Amino acid sequence: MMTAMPAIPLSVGANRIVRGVRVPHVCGDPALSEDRDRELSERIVRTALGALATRVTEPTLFEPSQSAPQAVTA
Amino acid sequence: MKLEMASFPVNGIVLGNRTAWSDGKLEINADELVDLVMQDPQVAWADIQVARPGDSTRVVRMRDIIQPKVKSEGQGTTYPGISGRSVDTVGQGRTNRLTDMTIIPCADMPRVNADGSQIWGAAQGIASREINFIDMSGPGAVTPFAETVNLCVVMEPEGQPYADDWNRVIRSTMLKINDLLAGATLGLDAPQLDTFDLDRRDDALPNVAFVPVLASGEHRFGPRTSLSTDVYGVGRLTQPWLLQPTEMLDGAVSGAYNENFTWPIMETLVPYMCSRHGIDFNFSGCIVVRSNWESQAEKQLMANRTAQLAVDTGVTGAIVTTNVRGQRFLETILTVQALERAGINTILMTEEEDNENGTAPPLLVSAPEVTTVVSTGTGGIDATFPAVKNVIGAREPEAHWFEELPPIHGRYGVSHTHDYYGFGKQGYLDY
Amino acid sequence: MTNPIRVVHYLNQFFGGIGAEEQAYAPVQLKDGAVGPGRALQAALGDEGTVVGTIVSGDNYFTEETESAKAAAGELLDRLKPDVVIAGPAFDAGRYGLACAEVCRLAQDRGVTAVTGMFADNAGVLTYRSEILAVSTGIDASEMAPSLQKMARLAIKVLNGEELGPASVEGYVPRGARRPVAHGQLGYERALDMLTARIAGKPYESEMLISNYDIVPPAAPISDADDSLIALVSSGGLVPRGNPDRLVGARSEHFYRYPLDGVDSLSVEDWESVHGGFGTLILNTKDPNYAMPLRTVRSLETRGAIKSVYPTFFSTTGNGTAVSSARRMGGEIAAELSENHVDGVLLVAT
Repeated sequence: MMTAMPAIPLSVGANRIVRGVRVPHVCGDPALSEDRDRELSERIVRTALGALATRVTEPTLFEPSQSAPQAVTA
Repeated sequence: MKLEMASFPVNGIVLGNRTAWSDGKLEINADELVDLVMQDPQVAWADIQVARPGDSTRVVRMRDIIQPKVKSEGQGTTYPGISGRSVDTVGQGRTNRLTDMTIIPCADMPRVNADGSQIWGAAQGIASREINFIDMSGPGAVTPFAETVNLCVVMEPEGQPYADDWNRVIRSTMLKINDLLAGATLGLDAPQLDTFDLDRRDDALPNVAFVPVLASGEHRFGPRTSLSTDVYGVGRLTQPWLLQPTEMLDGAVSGAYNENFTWPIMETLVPYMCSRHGIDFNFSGCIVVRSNWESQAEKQLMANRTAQLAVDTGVTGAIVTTNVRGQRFLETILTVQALERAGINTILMTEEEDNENGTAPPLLVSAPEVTTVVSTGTGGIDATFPAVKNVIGAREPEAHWFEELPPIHGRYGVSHTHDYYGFGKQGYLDY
Repeated sequence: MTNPIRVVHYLNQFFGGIGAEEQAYAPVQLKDGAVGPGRALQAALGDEGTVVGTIVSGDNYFTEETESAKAAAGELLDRLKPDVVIAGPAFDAGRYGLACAEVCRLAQDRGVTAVTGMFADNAGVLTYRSEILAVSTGIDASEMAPSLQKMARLAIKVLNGEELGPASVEGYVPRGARRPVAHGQLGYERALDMLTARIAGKPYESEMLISNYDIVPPAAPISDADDSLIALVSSGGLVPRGNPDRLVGARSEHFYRYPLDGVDSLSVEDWESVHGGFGTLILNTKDPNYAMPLRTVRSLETRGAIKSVYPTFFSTTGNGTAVSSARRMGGEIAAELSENHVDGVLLVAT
């Protein structure tokens, strides 16, 4: 689940949640240069793929970040 | 702040030659009102019609609903900040109001698309066009407006203006009529005078706050749009506002957002809480929270600031309400959560989602801190709305408005009663 | 009611007097008449009913050997032919609560009125909420006698065919249904009364006792991302330009499939969003990939981060969707993905 509003799926009980940017542009940021935007999109998607490969026991939020994607438990 | 509220009840509106209030009767000169409306060249056609309780009448295309009121003493103007009105702080001195009646501007509105283009007329195909109306009799007559005398100002625009421009015309028209009608009571002795002295506090009583979460139109229409509920005329997304309850009584928070109208925000919970000030609690303030933020961080930040304001105001209890359902309800839940975590006893009053025969929960999103809830139901009406003789709200109302209308399901986001402030006795309970 | 009703009581090994935790595997057995707290139940029934027998079982036995336990208990019920079964109360003991719930279901399957009692968060409630009638108790067994009184009263009400009022009024754990109610007071009056009661530490009753969704256990992680087949699902209202399938902007009950073979990116010329719940300007004038990052996924596919993308894209609008519709759509999509050995899904919402 990739969303700009993680609190909703956390509350509903989705188990792997990745934080996106903003509602109108979840998987990137048009305010960035094209290069930085592509980097951001890749970071978000890699975080999502990483989440799929991570064992979780409860709704867990994964944060794309400058370094490796971090998992944060609800 | 201390406010004297002079109430002039209206149990009937009669058509005559002048505007005057006497002994419960409001006399109006319909032609004079139409002329006043037509002074604005953007209005192509206007009419004044009255919807009375018990009539076989359906009011449609409401754009807002207000109680007529004007300042008779003290600074500022009622409904401040909108339509160019003064932004002077209100809530003090004396206000005259016509009770048991409302002013309802009725007009068509276009649908505005994301790219700014518009669609007028039936081609819009929005479901909300079909479910927002007021029945003055029958099983659908369950809102407070079925019990008030409603002066409807029906208007048509010149050409096909931008929604925002047309909305401004509608608002300023509504306020012109407001000032004229309520102004007729200036200088008269009020049958009822209430004094709300919120400066006097009883230290033995707990301090409580009203925390309405109100959707802003900014995300859809931009920060300067009039298509939003405003605080002193400001509808954009801002951090929470701390207002005195008497400011709200004077209309500091006003303006329709879709079919969320002005009247319920001001004429329900707030006056009731004012009336219990000094008896059950001290009504310390109203914290207006804006919703429709687009990121989780912003939503959380506003909830945090609301809780901080509440703590700084010294309250131990709060009532949180919400309005437009949907993802912005998250702001409301975060607000309740932040208040509870700050140690404030919090009641959430809200409509709920239809539970789809027990398969869906009543709230779109919730949190463990949401423990104390008053539910005003799903907003749906189970019965069929009967055919009516009169339809008020358009020059030539479409035929289907006169006919029997099907029951309305209170499913996600769809509400007919819009009872966000608890003005009705309907509710839902667990079985 | 001329003859006293026949009541069978269910108790676990502890309250049934067999033993404590060491007897948790005690098999289902029958004791004559009322046993232990059953005496309080008999007192509560008075002349109206007689506890003709008590079924006792170990908590572990019932929850681990459920099929055998149910068979044995069922046989006893068939033999005893009660009018009413009272199970527990279990308070907050989870295994006991589950066992009580199972016993109630057995009784109900035989057309016998059954009432249990337990704490609102007991596993028995969480598992069988809509199937059992449970008096809402605290966690303390010191409430035994009053709990049994409430259970008896409720059982007789149901047996007599009386309609039950709301959970908060009748004292039972909500069974998942919510119904319209006409209160005596206006909403804001109720809200202020509730607030002042809560501040003063006086009792009050929330009008919403549960507000959560069901818990779905997480799927096992993908063992090897490089070798994975990933499917793309969107609730952002993405459709080919012109919206050929007429996906609606709100309250959708359908999802649509769009082929991704040979499609490397969702171009703004070929795609748009019809979602009615947020500003779609950026998607529709700049780049739909913000709502479904196909371009990025394809790039990662080329570089071997995943094996491949499932050739069908699933699209719907997540705006005012009824929960039941969402559940059904999710189930349908999941069934197809599962059949086709998809390893993981990227579901992009708003």
